[in-house]
Amino acid sequence: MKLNKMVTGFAFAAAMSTGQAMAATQGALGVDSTGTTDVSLEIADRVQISGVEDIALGAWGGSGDLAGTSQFCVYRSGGDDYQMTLTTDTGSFLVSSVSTGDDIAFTAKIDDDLDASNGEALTYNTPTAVALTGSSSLTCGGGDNAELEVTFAETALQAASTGNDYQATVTLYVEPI
Amino acid sequence: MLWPCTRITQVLLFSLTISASMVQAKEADHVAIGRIQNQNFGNWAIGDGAQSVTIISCASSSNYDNPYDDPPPAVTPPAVHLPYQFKVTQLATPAGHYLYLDGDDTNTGNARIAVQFEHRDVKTPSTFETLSDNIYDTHLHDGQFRLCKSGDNSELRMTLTQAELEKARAGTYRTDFRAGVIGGSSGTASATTDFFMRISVSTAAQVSGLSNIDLGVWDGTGDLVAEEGFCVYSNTTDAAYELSISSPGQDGGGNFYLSNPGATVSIPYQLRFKDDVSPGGGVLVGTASLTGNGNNSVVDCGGIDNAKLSVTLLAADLGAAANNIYSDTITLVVVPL
Repeated sequence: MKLNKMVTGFAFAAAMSTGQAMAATQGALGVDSTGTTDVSLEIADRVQISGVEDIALGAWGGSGDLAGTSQFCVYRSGGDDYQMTLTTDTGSFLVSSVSTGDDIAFTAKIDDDLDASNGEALTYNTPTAVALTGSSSLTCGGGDNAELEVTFAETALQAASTGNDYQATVTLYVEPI
Repeated sequence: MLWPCTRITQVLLFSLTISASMVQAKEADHVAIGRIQNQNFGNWAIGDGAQSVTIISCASSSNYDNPYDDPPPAVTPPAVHLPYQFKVTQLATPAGHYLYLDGDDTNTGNARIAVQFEHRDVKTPSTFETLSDNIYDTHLHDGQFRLCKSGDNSELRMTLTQAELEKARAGTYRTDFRAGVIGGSSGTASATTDFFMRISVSTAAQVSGLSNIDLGVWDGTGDLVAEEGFCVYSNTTDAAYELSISSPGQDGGGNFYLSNPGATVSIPYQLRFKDDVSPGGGVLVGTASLTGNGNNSVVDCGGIDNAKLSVTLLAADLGAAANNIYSDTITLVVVPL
């Protein structure tokens, strides 16, 4: 069973103008001369998700829930907050098997640290309700700062036909807030 | 020993006085011009404005070489005023009316200052006529009797315009001139007097051609680099200048920062200066003043930049900054060296 991750980031270019600066001033001819120039820059809202890997859950042992995680990096300009929305190519939190035609439901949690077990449980295609905090570093300082956890309930697994091709592609959509 | 000498002198003077009174008035082709004082305008600095002086002297032109009053005594033929014309000639090789830096008449451009000479006759008031070098004016003025006992009549105005002075290179300017009149009975008799004009121009500088440096919206990748060219004019011989650069966003160590409107968040940036516009950033700007060489010929550099600032923001610093608008105001103070 495999969950493929698709990563999307949404950069929101705020409709702000850098035109606040005053006009440059020219110096007058004299024993000294003073001129000014304004330097201005706009930093728009930006996010980036990176370092996401597939969650290969392997073969279920026949008892108990089955959980897997993926840790990744979410950059947020200024280290500000973001929200995340999960969707799949199966249309819900399901992995599907072509060979058996069965689906297996799963749940998902997300957290802005490396332990999603206590994170927010996600509703399909619904943004997280709790603000998540990103890293101000594009590379998260070379590490990860968020985790996705998917869990398959024992009962759901028991109901599924035997197959080794259960999979879904999960899309993680990150937005600045 | 002294007494005999003094007595001899008295005798000679008496003898000469008798001789002069015995000379009868005789018609002559007379023209003369009184002395024109040298004009030293001293030191001139920006803000002093145009410099102008008017000199009134005696231009005599008559048919007698006698210092008659007006009206003159009855003599035969009658003594009358005769017309004269006036000119000023530059005693330097090039044509024109200029003061030359260091008195060197090979100087051109802003190493020489144009002088405007204008003339009129105060006894027969008329508008001033601008004089061309070594060319008599077009008016026929009323020449006086010798020594102008009824009052000086020739009015010469010398003007150094503000525009000429403001664009002049620093230093001392001097040129010798010769004023001349022509007239008399023949209409071709002439006389001259020499004078000089001098002025010292103080150092001056100007920074211009500055525009704001708008870095736009960072696209999320890479460093941001922007350059801003400008013009520095310094009227010193080698156009040397000292440049001090500062900003409200500069810290005590000389580092520069852009700040958001509340100045709660800042982004460091590197500021570099170069006294030309060739590729490359130039010298890193800190707290120390910098030096450079600019343009000493044209105040606005003819619209061609001769210095530049380079601003660099690193991607790592940009990425760490929250969304906002960041700005800084760079102040440049130029002093001629």
